[in-house]
Amino acid sequence: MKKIEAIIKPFKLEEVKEALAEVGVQGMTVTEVKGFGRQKGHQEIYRGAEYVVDFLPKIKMEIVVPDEMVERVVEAIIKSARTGKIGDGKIFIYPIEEAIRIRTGEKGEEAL
Amino acid sequence: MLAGIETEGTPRERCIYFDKFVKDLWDPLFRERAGLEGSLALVALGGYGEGYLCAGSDVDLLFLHAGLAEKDLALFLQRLIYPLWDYGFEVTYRIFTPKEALDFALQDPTFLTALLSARLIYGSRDLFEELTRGFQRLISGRTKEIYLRLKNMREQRLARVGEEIYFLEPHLKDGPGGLRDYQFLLWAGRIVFGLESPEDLVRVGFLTPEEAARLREAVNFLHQVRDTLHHFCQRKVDRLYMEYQPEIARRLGYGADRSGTENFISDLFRTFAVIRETVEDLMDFIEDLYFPQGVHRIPFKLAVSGPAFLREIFQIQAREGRPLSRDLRKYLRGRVFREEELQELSRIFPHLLTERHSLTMLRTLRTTGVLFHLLPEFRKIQGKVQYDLYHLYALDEHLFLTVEALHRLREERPELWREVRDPRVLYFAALVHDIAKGEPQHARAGAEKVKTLTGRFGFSPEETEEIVFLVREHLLLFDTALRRDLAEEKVAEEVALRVGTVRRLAALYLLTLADARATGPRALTSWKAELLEELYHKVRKVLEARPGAAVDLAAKRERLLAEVSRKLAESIPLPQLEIYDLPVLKRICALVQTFQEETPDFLVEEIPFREGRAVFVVSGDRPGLLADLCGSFLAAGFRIRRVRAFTWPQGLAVDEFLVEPLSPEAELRKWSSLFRKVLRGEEDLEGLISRRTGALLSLEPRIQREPHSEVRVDQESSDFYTLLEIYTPEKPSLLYRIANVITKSGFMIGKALVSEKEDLAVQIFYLQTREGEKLPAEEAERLQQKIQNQLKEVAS
Repeated sequence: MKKIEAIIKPFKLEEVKEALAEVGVQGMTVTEVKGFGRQKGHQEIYRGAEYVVDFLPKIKMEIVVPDEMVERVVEAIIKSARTGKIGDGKIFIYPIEEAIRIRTGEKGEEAL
Repeated sequence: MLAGIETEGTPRERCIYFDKFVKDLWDPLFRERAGLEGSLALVALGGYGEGYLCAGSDVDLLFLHAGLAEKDLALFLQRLIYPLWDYGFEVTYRIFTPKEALDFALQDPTFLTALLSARLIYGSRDLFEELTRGFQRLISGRTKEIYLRLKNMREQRLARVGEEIYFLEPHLKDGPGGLRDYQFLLWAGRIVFGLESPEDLVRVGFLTPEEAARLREAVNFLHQVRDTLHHFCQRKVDRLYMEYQPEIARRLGYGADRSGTENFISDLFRTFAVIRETVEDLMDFIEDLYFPQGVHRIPFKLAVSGPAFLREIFQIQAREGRPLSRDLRKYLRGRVFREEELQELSRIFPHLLTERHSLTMLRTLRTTGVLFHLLPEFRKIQGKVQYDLYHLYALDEHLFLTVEALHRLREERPELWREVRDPRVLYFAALVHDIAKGEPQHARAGAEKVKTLTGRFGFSPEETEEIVFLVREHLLLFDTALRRDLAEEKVAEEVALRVGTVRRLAALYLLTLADARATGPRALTSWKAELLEELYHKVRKVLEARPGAAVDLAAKRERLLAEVSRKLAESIPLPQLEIYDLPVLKRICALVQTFQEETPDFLVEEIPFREGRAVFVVSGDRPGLLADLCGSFLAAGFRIRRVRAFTWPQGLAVDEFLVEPLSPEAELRKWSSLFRKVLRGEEDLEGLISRRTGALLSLEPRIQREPHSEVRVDQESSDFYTLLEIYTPEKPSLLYRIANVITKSGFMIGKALVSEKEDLAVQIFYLQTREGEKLPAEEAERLQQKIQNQLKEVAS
């Protein structure tokens, strides 16, 4: 099992969600986050008052899937979240040691 | 039998079972220890004392004794308490003599109120009566003090729960109109008037028999709900969380679908309202006796003067926030209003919404029912539930809170508020923005509904139009901020076209913020607020760049829609929509459509203008395209007098070149075949131009003016592009060279505007990095330097 963590642009959430549903992802956790990477956070000038916004609003999605699904899921995310511009985000993949469904106590992939 | 107590019957039945169970436990003991009957009594307190025992509630007991020895007490206590514990009851108990109990009651107001519902279950009646007689003595002469203590407890409780009736996850016990409020009613009646039961309230004329019946029904319903909830959760939970509501509704016999749940919650809200109104009526009644000068209520006597009386009452309340007197409330509740009375109120109503205490006024309008005469549309949405992740309040309350949120925004965002010309319009829109909630496309449907009712409130057609706009578009900013790419200029331009003016934008933004705040804390996180703010500023900038014009542009596009497809019309960049008249726009759209259908390398169309021959070129956009276009015109012997180049959202370049031949051989056909070769990479444009430089130079003006050039970088005018502005004496090869420098530096030209001003060429390039951002300051500076060098080179 792997956890796929994707940081994407806020307005891409619906599109990515749909793409993930299409490849068979059944559940995910979505969080409103702020951060920056190469897109350093922009400098905005509003009515002459200049201020630096260092953290940009992003969406963090977390999805845990069986190993054989990882490639499909990653592909779906890249395809749907890409705009080609800076700040499209990143995908991180982590190994998962165990998953347990709290209600039934089922373990492993059964619990996903 | 105890298992039966846990799971079956009503709270009332359960109470009777429980009484019997306790008696059965103690009976044998009294037989064993004969002679103790007169010196021990078991007393029920609190809810159990009232005769209700809810599943999972605390059992509140008092062991009343006449100074028994500890070992005797322990025996009775253990015999009763241990089995109760074994069966999982939460038992609270105290052991007192009557005197100890009374002393303790003086110190502890909670115990004092518990004693108010004392009921003998088993044991010595004499002992129990000693307690109740003592208690009567205790409270007589202290009634005012005790009443204030109770009132204080109630206020603290409500502040702690911190909610209004129309909160979507209500607290059945502690919330306003909850069971504790009912208890408060009984206690206050008992202490102040010595009334034993709710029926006594009728006997003394405080309640009519109908009101008493309504109250009884409300209390029974509430008990039933609470009991069902406890059963369902298998524990004591008094907050009716949203996820429980469908199941509780089903168990109470409502439909199993969504509307069943919604009806259930609406009934529950009405129940709370009945209880709270009765409690508050009684409080007024008592306080008029105790403190005739105390509260400054709006008096009943106002109600006697002419058709303006309704207006006067609510005018005072909206301004001063004073509550209505009990008599006045009752009077309004029962009254039929004359048309002219309602008219008087309607006309001033929008203005009253802008007053500081308009929330108090709105709530009073609702409880007295006047609201439903004033705005019958609210009858349908009263207590209406919105099931989603965000809304915390019933629909009508949400609308009231939106009005209230505007008061706060007025102070917090003065820079936005300055743009609001008529606050009445904004406040009224806030009150009705969700009036069609539940219907498909509720914003649109609501806008239609609103059209029919603004007249009653004295709004002019122009004001009505503003209100309709605000209601129709109240989701626009929020949806756009969350679902569209704010880095796209087109997105801001679209919103600008729909909104039209800076004033409207500010009003719409204020409504958006107020709506979000009134929804609940989750609706407007700082994360979302930041996206909204970004959108607002970007749209504002687009609008400020063309004061007043956006309204006309929207109308122009509307007219264009009659001729071309929506998709094409909406793709036109705002400046192009601005520059060209309708026939030209139509031809441009036709050209783009052909390009999309036939996908050639590029398409050309010549459109004659007064100023000369304009060549329109449509092509797939790519880095260096503008340089190639300019270079190929130059190589084909054309001078470019004007460029208006734009990128469409489909990734197309749609550019206009106003050209004139520099030499007699210059022909558009020749240019076209040259450009095709350049596009296909079959011609080395740079080599070609440098070979022809000599010939081209001879064509330039003989007398060179003092070269005065200026290169400026503007990072402020656009949120999406870095503007590079170049003012320089006109030279045919210049444009190509500059475009070349930009391309070689790795930047993208999103738009370009080149024109002649007297003998100066004005070139404005809208630049982005390849990643679609504005140029970082240092890179913009480097580019500026490179261009200046290029200009010197050309001049020498």
